[in-house]
Amino acid sequence: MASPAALAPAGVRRAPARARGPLSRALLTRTSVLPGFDLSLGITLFALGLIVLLPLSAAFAKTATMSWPAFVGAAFSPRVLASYRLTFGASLAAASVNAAFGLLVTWVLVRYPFPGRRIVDALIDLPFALPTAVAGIALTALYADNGWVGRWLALAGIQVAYTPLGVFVALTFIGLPFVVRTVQPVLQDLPREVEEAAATLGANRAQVFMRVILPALAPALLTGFALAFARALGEYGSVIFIAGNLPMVSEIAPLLIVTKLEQYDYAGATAIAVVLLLAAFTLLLAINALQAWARRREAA
Amino acid sequence: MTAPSPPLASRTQEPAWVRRTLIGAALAFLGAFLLLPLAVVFAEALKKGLDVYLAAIAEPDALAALRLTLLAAGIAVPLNVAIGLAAAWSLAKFRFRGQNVLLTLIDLPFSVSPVIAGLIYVLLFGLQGWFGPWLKAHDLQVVFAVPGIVLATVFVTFPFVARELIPTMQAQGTEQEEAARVLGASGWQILRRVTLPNVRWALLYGVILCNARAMGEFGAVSVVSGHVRGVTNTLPLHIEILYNEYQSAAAFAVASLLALLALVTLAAKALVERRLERAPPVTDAAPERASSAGAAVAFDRTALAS
Amino acid sequence: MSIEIRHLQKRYGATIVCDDLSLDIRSGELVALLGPSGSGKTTLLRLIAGLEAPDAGSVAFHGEDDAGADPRAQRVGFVFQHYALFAHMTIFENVAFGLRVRPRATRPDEATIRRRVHELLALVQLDWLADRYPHQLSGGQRQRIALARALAVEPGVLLLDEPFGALDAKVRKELRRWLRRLHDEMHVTTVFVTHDQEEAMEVADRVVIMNRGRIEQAGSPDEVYDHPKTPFVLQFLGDVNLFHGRFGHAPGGAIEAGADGAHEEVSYVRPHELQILAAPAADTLPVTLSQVLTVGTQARIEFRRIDDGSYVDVEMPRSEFAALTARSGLGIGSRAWLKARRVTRFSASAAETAVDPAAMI
Repeated sequence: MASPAALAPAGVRRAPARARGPLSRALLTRTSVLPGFDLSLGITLFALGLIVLLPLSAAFAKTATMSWPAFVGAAFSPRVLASYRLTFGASLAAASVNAAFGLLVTWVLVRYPFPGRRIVDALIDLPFALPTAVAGIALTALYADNGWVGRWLALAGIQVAYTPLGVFVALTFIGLPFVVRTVQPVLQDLPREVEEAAATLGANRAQVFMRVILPALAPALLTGFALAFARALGEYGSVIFIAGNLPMVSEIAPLLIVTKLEQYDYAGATAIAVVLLLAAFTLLLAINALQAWARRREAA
Repeated sequence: MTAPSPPLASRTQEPAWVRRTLIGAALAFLGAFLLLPLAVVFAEALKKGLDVYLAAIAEPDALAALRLTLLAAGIAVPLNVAIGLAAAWSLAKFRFRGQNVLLTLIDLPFSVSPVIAGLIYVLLFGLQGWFGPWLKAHDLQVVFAVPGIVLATVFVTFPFVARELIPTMQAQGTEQEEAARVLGASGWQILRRVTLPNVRWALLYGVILCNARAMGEFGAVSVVSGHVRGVTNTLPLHIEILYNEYQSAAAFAVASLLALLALVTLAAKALVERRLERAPPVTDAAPERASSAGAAVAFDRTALAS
Repeated sequence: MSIEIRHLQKRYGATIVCDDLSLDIRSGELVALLGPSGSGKTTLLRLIAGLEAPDAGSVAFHGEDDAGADPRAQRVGFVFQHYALFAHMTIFENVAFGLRVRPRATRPDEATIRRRVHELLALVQLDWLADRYPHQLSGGQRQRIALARALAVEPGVLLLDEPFGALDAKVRKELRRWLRRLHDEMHVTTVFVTHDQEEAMEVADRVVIMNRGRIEQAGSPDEVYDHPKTPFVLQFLGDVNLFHGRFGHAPGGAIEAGADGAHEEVSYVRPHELQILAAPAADTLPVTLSQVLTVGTQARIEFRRIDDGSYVDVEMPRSEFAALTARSGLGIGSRAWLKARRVTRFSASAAETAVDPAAMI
């Protein structure tokens, strides 16, 4: 009996039967004819483990060697607490401002055609593309007492550079694109029909906005807020130039980590790092949940 | 006879004055927060005149910093392209247990503060670190040297390419690859001839973002660098040194280079985005997933430079 | 509430989408706007709703209670093709929306709103879904909710834009019947847009056939089918055979390609208006049988004309055709002669229909 392979015309290679590697056997939930799963997943896991997970675990391992009182002392001393207050407080404030103005900017970009809209749209990403050190010195130059903006604020008695207010301004700058870019696609895809439906049912424009448009944007808005907040928490380069870096007053947590490192207080630095990491991971989970919520609500 | 129903236009659009006010407010906000900082970089750089500007850029330490920056990016970007492709291939073309966990793990470097990114490498490779004694015994140095800088750069740019490729490859489905397979193509042939051409714009997009972040990284590199002028300084670190030494014009001169890089990055991004929107993704998936590819690209913004 | 449309004109750029449209819709009527895509029917609907403003012309509503001029009677209910439900609100809140956004003066209290919403949900037989969200509903359910939502504000006129276009065939049929029953119960003046002629003919009291921005004919389904005013209407509704020249008017049975003044004569005969004869007779067309297709209870027989080779379709009940073939031995390739029971021709002024009374069976 001729085998199927022998019956195939010469020159046509049949797809060879593959031996399934260990990763395929263990993890695949749906068989696939495509090759390369073991290799690609292997590379990914290897790189991930070596570059990301191993180093990150070093931080947690380090704090594990500390006794609990030592950890608490390092992670929650008055100076460190002051830095948390500044970091979390300024980040929250900056993210809130970005949520409000980001919504405004997105609305204008999506709904109102105006000359130069394309360029403005591209420029929104500037805080992403600009190196933080550059942003840091630029903002400091702007808001210093002799700076373009600083001199006007000084007349009103407001000092921005080298104060917590400066931290807030810098964090607002770097968080600007997050809200815009998360809300933009949602607003673009919002069907006009839904607004028209509300109008035919008797709602005036303000009611349409408050009851129909805004709730539809809420998940994306919150996600953008969370992303901006998370980014602001860890920000370093844009902030250290404009902050005064005075302990207990205008010192952000990441700077405190660097300071302790320079003093070879690895344990102290790591303790603060772990607190920040836990906060960041919690936010990451929250963001994932928000995005899942947004996807569930899509489309009716 | 009752009056005719008033047109609903007033309920589906804001009045003109509201529109104009909102546009004005948005542009004022953007001008204050985006344009001013950009403008001040160039203004300060050229404050002392063009020759001081050029001298600052051509200075040996600055050039060394530029070389190191290019080296770090030159290693980090291709490495992350390879890893990103591998990750995207496994995540987009297969279904396996723990997919979501893997996605979250790949995203981890985004949520980590750059300072902490540097810290963990010091913990690993510093003198008191896990591998410290071993490295010292072999007379190798990672932290406070070039290898550490490269490693830290790779860490912070790790997710960029993967995050651009995964949604695009997912939206394109597996039909084309399966067709190639049935026709007898090997894995590498499928990758080269079928998959890569389909994702070339998303790949380019990821490379642009990855590169911009790699060259602009500050916090992580600052921690692992020895801050040795001319040796272990990247351009952002060099800016910091100049600034702290009150050489403000020189600092802004070097900064202006990076600002120009940022503008080029933005322009390149905009161009590639236009390509991504125009070419409809070749998809066998449901139409919703096709549009999600575009949305995913739009969604994929996070920390670029730090 | 009745609708009076006078000389509506709308253009987008250089294209005239609605060209001098005038129409009267009686109160309580169920009217279908039928036509191919691009005929302007959706634009007309949106003009009636006030979602677009016309370039010229007017739309006027006449309430039954003219003296009272109840503002609510002016409210127009609109149902969109893709439902346009509010994704973030429950079904209950969706239906209640129109009542909730009323200005405080006319807003009903919570208990009244609750009662009305449940009434409407019961009317569309979806009361049990009140706490769900739109994404949890099927397409047909969503459309019924969209309808309930539009009805909640007690509109004087209900407008539906291809309401069943996004649904699959079986659901469409069910909802069609359901809409008709609903209308019979509520007697709200209803206008709906469709490109599906079966839908229009089945549901509507009156069908308005539109083509390229103009109204070709408005009349009851029987009227437009049996007495089409223009060739477009005839060809749009159902199948038709087209013959150049006058069918069956010349003695001897051949078709004469004649000239009626300056125009070339065109005759139209519907497939079921043709009779198959096994032998030549007066006013018949010689053909050969080329193909037989049975679809359900009907037989569709394709003939080829001997004189010019073009095809003619005949339709008759299967049983009748079976009897005919048994009687005359008709098969593929056989010779036959076609006789028209009824021929429709259009002259410049009015349609002219010639009927052979002798053939009326």
